[in-house]
Amino acid sequence: MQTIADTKPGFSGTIANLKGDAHIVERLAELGLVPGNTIRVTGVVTFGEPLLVEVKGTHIALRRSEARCIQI
Amino acid sequence: MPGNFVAIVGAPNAGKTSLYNCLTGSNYKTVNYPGATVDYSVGETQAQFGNTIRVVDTPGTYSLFPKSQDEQVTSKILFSTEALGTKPSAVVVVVDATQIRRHLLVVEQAKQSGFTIIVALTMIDLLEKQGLNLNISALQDSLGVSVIPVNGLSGAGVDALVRNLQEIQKSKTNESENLAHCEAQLPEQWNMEQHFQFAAKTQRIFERVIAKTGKKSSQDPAIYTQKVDSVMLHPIWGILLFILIMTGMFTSIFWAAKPLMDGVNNAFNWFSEMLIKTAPNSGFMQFFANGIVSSLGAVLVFVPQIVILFFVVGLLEDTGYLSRAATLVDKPLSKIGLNGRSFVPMLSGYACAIPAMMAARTISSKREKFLTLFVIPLFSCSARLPVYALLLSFLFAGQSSWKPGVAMAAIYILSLVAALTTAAILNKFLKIGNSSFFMMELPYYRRPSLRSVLKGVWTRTYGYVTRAAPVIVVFSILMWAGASFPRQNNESKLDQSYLAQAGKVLEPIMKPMGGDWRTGVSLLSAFTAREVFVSSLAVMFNVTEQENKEATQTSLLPKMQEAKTESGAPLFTTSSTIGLILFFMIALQCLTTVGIARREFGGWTMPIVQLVLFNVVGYTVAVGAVQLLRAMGIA
Repeated sequence: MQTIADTKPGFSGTIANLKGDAHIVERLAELGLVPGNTIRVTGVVTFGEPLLVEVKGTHIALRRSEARCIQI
Repeated sequence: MPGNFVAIVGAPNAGKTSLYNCLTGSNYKTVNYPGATVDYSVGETQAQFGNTIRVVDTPGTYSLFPKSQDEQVTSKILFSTEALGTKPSAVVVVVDATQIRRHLLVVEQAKQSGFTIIVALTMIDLLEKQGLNLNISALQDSLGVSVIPVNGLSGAGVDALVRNLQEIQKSKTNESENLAHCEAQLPEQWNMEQHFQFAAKTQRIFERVIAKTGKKSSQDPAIYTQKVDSVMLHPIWGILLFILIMTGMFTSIFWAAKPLMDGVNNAFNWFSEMLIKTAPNSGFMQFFANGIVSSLGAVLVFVPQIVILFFVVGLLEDTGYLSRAATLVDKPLSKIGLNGRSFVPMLSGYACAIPAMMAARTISSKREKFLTLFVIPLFSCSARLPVYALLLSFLFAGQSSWKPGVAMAAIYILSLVAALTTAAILNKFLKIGNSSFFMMELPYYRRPSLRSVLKGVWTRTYGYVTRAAPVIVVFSILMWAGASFPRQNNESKLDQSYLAQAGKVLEPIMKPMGGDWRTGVSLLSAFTAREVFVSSLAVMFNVTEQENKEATQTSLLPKMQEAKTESGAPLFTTSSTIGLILFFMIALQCLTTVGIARREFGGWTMPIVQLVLFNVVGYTVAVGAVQLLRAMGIA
């Protein structure tokens, strides 16, 4: 299954599922990263991490380990 | 009626605090939640709105299911009666109109919990700049609760909000006399299916209430935020600008704080001298002027630097830059077990460890919070500055002035390296489970509100003064007494005093560092506050207190150059001065920090480990450096 961690800046797609540590998955959902929503990868900062994503007008910085919980 | 209050909740950056400031003006106080280490604010609505209502500002939270210590406090204020004796009679949920789909989550959870809710809708002006319009009555219909648009900067709509709250209070009082029996309860934790369905529901609400006006402004916050971030978070420019901003910040702080710090210092010196002149022979006046007034001066001399640092930090925070800064450094910090969120506490550590440790409460992972708290005392706080200044001007006496400047920068960088190395080493051995996450929301850039920045500066500075003052005053008095007694022929002789006797006991320990009993006593006295080292050295070498610190320094320098050990060799040499600098860089001498660390760690074990470890390591490094330099032929 492909996750957001496998994508490159410029990617845009629909979140299929969230899977992983319950704590992380809950917070992702609370930030609006919910299956069905469109997610856009807008960039990556200096050291290859965190990834910058945008969902419904909210910009969020994610570690790769967190991005791996977001299946697309 | 006591116990009856309204809670203000909402996601971080929703505009909660600006609204709270409008509601309460200056009628608030910051309270520490019992048993927890998070502060929240309790206030009363301003008199201009009529009957006053008690309002509580809670730490920002993305949901009512807490993920960090500060979010836990919000949850406790809502669902437990232990802090305020009752649950809130109503909950104001602050919702940012530009983030409405996400912010409705807290509204829904508060509704499910059974609270009486009012939604305060903020940032409507920003929404209009995005070319969108929000239909308030449609939103009210969809949610089934009152929605009141407010503007936290201009105060528009706040009176309507208060009127609504007053009506709720009135109807509740009529309904039942006993408000303590609010039935609100936290619902079951949502599963993914519920999140999914709720997202679909908010999308439907969004489509129903938001309409395009077609008047998209060039000031659309989403667009300029993206433009600014394409530079600020750029892989190359981002990190360069970060370094530039931080360097600029530190340089300007030292430059701006210096005249103010000298001013505070001079004022207290003048005051204590004047007191002594009024009654030169009174022992009590000696005690009052040299013991109490001077030690209060020792507390307040750092206030300018703390105020300026937190003003700049507050500005950066309010514009939205600090969450970007945390994002930029998360990766390198995570390598040594820290988090991007450790950045602000560590930055504050350069001013003072006390507010810095309190700032660590936003770190949700126990392990990362632990590591952050552990290394904060290693950052060179402002109390070390006068000590470095004295020792460097001794080391570079008569040489060009850029040298001490470069050396000072080197000390600051070296202390950063020491702190990060400590974190990395501890990270290898620490056995606390890791449920670390970063997930940082990057809010729209916005113009900072001077009012909320100043309020933050006030809260932090007040916290520093009230926590540091008692400890420093008590220990300064003890030190003063130790240096003034026993009296002989009604005169105190320092070299016979209790303090000197203690210093002579310390002498064998000081010798390997290149010191003698006088440096020992000065180091002991630095445990009241580090910069006391300078004034106590001055006392040791019989320098009468000069009118200002610079004068003390210039007259102290020749004394230091002349000072001899018992065997007749110079006491202050290149090696022993470098040893002292290294000791001050590492040692934990601030007992107030130890007290705050106990609160933040939740026990005595770690603060005592810090106290012993940093002093032993500081001493060992200092001795090692002195012996190495001497072996290399540098006296």
